[in-house]
Amino acid sequence: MLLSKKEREFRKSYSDYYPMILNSIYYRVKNMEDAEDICHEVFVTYYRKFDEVRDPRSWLIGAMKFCISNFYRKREGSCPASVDIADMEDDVHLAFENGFRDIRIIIHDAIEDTGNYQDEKERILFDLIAVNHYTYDQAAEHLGMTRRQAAYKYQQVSRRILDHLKERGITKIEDLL
Amino acid sequence: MKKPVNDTQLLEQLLDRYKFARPVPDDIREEILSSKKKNLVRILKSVGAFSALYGALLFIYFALKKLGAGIPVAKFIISGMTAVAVTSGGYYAVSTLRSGDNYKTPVVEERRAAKENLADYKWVDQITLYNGRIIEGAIISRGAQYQVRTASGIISIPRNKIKTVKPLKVRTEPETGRPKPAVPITQ
Repeated sequence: MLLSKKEREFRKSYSDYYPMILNSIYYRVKNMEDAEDICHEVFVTYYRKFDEVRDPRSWLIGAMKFCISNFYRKREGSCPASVDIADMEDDVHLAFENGFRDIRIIIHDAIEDTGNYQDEKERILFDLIAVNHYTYDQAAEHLGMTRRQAAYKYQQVSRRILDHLKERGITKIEDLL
Repeated sequence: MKKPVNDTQLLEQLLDRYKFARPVPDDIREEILSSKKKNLVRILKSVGAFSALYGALLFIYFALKKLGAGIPVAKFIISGMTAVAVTSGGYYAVSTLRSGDNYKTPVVEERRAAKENLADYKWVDQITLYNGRIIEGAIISRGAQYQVRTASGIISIPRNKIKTVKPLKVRTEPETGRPKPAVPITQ
């Protein structure tokens, strides 16, 4: 092999999570250059701590939040209070959206339940399409699959999540909309 | 297929309603996807892991990924290597046949040589084992273990497994002029 195991695994992780991380950062900072700088910092730290990381997804999301808060702290003339802390922390247990905290917790648990995904690829696919609103074509190209495969997998995951919600007592989604 | 589409739409509406969705404009999404390689190179340069070789590999990796959506790179490379191997093998076989060489596989050559060697022996015996197996060859050593040269090479047979030894190609002995009879080894 021409590349070391670390380099190959890092490239794979980067390739998998880059759009999701950069998308989340952009969603918060609303500036592409800043978002790329923060994303760069996240992945540089990830590379350096690669051997210590057990769950890349959780680690990257945690590092992303830390880097965003650092970015605002360091930035001159920017008020840290201008950042929506609840949104940045993305902690559904603290967030109170229109008085539906319990529902948010149930939905969050359903999305985060690993049993609803056959593999990490399906999870990334769901994040890209349902959470980040990527098209089937964009998600399929990113994950190296056909549009048809992406659509099928996405539908399967959605069905599993809805079944999970039904098990938790949410039988009619329409009532929550 | 109608129902799953409705399910996905419902779920998306639910995620939007409860602020789980993090959508960005279309042009930003395109920019995010297209900046993947550029930012990877930037990261690798920052950590000192970037080299010309890595750059070349990344170029191939992203080019293949872009060209072969639906085919993972590893499968693509393996398919390519298989195609090259089959093509070159076929070309070699055809060119060898056309060149008029009397090509034989190494195994065939080996057997032919062993048979020729066997022909040099005065005796070729038919050895019958107790398990019913019959072996033809020249006995080159006797004792607790019989060494027999056969067409497929030298084999070793324990003496107690041999039922009879019968000469097939008998040469008359110079003194008596009689053929050598089959001798039950166990006697």
